[in-house]
Amino acid sequence: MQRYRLLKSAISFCLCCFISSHIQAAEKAEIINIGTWGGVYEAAQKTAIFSPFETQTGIKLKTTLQYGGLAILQGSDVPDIVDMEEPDARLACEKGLLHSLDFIQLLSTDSASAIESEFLEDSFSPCAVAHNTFSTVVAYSSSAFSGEKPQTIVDFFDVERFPGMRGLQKKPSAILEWALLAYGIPISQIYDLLSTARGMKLAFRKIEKLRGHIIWWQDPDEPAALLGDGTLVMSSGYNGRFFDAQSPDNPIIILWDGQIVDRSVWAFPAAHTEIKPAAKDFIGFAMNSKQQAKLADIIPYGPTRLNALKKMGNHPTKGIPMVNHLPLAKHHLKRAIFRDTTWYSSTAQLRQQAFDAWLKQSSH
Amino acid sequence: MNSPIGPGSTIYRFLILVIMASVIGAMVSLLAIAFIECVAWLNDILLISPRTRIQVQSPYLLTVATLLVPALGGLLVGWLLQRLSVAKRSLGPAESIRAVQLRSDLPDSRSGIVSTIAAMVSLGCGASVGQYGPMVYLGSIVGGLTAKLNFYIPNLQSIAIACGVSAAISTAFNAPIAGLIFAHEVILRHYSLQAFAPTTVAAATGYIVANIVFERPALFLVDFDGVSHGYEFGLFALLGVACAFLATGFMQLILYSARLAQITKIAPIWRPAIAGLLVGIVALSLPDVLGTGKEALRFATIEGAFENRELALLVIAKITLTALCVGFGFAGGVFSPSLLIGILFGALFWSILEVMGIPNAGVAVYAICGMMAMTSPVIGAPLTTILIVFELTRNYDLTIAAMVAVVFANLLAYRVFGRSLFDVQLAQKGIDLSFGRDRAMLESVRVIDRSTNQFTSLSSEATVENAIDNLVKDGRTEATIIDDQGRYQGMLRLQDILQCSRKSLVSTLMRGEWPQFDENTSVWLAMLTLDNFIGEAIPIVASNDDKLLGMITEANLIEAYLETVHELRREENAAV
Repeated sequence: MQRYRLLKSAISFCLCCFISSHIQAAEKAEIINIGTWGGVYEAAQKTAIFSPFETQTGIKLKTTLQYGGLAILQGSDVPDIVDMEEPDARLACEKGLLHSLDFIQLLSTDSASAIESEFLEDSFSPCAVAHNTFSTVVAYSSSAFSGEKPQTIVDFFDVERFPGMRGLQKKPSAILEWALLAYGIPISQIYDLLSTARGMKLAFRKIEKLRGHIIWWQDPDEPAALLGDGTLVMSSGYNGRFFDAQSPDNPIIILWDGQIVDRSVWAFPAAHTEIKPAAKDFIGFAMNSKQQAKLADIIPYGPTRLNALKKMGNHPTKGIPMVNHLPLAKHHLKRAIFRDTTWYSSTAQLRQQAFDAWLKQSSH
Repeated sequence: MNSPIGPGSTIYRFLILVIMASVIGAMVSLLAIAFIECVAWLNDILLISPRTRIQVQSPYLLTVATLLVPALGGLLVGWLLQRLSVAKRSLGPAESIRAVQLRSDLPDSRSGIVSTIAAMVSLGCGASVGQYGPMVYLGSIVGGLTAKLNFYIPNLQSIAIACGVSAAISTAFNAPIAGLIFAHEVILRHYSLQAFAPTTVAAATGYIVANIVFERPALFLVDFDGVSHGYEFGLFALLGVACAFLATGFMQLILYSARLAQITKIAPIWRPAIAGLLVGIVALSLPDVLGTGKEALRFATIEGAFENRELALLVIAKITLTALCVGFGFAGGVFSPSLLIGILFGALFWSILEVMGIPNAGVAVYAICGMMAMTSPVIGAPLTTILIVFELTRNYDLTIAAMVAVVFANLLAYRVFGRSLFDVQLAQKGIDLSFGRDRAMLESVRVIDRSTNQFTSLSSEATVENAIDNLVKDGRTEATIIDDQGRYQGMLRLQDILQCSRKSLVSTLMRGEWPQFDENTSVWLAMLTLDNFIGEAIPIVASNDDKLLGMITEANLIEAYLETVHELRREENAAV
């Protein structure tokens, strides 16, 4: 009898162990899919945010590569969280492709604290929260020009003084602003003038000067690589990627003239009816000043959480203070264009049509 | 000249003037920025600015907004001015000039404030009018109200208004020197140190508020490497001459449009709405005509932004619509439309040079020259416009080029039309400043205000004997003859009647050629009459019923003249 009872306990103990281990396994098996930009940026995110998050919570993360636009939000394998450019997120929000939720509440640890004031202005929008500032810049390879070096955006369009191929992303964004800037139009008027048919016509007339001198890039790591191997002499690209690629073998110099400052945001695609609690936990973790500072130490994209700036230090291998390399560093702001995200999302179709029309001309 | 006031008063006046200038400067600057921001905000929400127009997804909504916004805005402006304003019209720099030149009061503050709000609505709804006139008047209101505090300082009103105006221009253009000069050139028209120092302080304060506190961007930046060929200065002069004719035509059209509005017998309350509707209709195919057109202003300096046909069309459309909007009672100025018309015309002039194959220094310099050569005659301020170019572009070569065009335009337009639109508008109201301030001032003082009742009057039935008795008793040599109803009959002189029969009637012995004035005769006109006059006094006779209103003695007349002139000289030479 005694033995039988013992056996029963043993069996139930084993059963319990079995079931609980299964439950734990199920918890551990939860995987959050993050849509992000690949390359050195993703590598930096992995070191600064993804790995520490996994270690701390046991939640597994996987990433899906994307190059902007809204394509990532539709289809079969839509990630749980997406790292987007702000204008794209705004447009996606309008189209109902993102969950709308109160990010302020999501990030607030206690109701009393005014979390909004801890961030750069307008970091919170209905469907997204801005996590870093990055900039689209023109950079050139110092080894491509032995004499005079490019100084301003005007030089990007001057293929006679600075011959060689230019790298550009195949979309109607930064190039339009730069084209008008190259006419000597003041930064404060760029979007006002781009809003007129005349402004758009002028922009494409300037871009026309580059016809036959453009190599389109898609992967954001490409510009630095193509500058390095001499395929390109100048290229548009993201400041962080150029910074990362800078080396004695690849002497990339960033033209801060006309840098276009933009923000990256986190957003939850509406393709999933429910937002996973773990995905929300991830946002809470990633928006921490410690994680933001750590990311900015590896790749110079400015934190949106203000006190993260104070926690920033030197680059882990280059050993240089990283605050000086951020888009919003004071010495970079003199000729900075702050992208008008509302304008961008409302004019997406219009710009695309004009751009496609111009591309079509070139195929003739 | 030594100051007639003591050191205590000097320090008092100095301190009060400087403090007053800073306060006016800061207030006007803040109000001017608020004005600009309000207009920009209205332009955005009412789909006037291209930046919001392009973001509208529905073409139907855009068409409806383009047609209706200026018209409905016009309706509101008409209602505001006709129902809430005492003056029943919009007020502008002309009123500021009048108040300062004639040392009279500005129109009532209520009308001023209503006019400012009406201007905000006009500009906000895309009417083709300018923003600087209303801003200048806004500065004048602040100055005028401050001067009412009366700090026991002579000429305070003129100085305070000038301070307000200089701060407004300084803020609007980010150009403190131009603001200071505008206040002197257009409003004060003299350079006394007493006014110069405070206006400078106000202009600097306006600049500091606009630039350092609010970090507003400069209005206009142009790259220019210098004039390439010597003969181009001749071309600038030629452009100036062409602009003079264009400006004259523009100003004539504005005056004509105001007359047309009266001829058509449309009630004033509806007039702006009609102009607004026309602006809307034109804007459907030519959106550049909406508002102040700052985008077109920028494009004009870029080679090839416009085709020649577009430039010509826009110049004509802008001239016509601005004349219509101003004449039909929208509230707003003519300064910014002139800038736009001029810059487009300058660009057109340049493209003609290109067609003719004349080598030149590029479109920017001709556009800027055109802009300033067109504006200068309209506002009557050559120095100001030259300085605006200098302060906005900080480019010496460009300034010299603009200077040449400006002086030629000004010289010719002055001959053909007048000093400025403001001056001609004032002249139409009987205030002619074209012969200087002394004359205008003397024309504004009436002899009737200096008349006396101390004279010898005789009935027309009186005899020579009565006359001699009365004159001897009063110690005078002249008598005024009136009939039993008090109507003036003529003048009698003692020496003329001494030899006559004592029984003769005085009515037969009156002097034939004796000057006479009426209730409206000004001191200026009276002084001209004095030229060939030998006598003691001149009768003032009512123009409607010939009743004798009083006499003005030669001494009183000269006193009135000297008082006015001395007062003006004192103001113009005052130190503190």
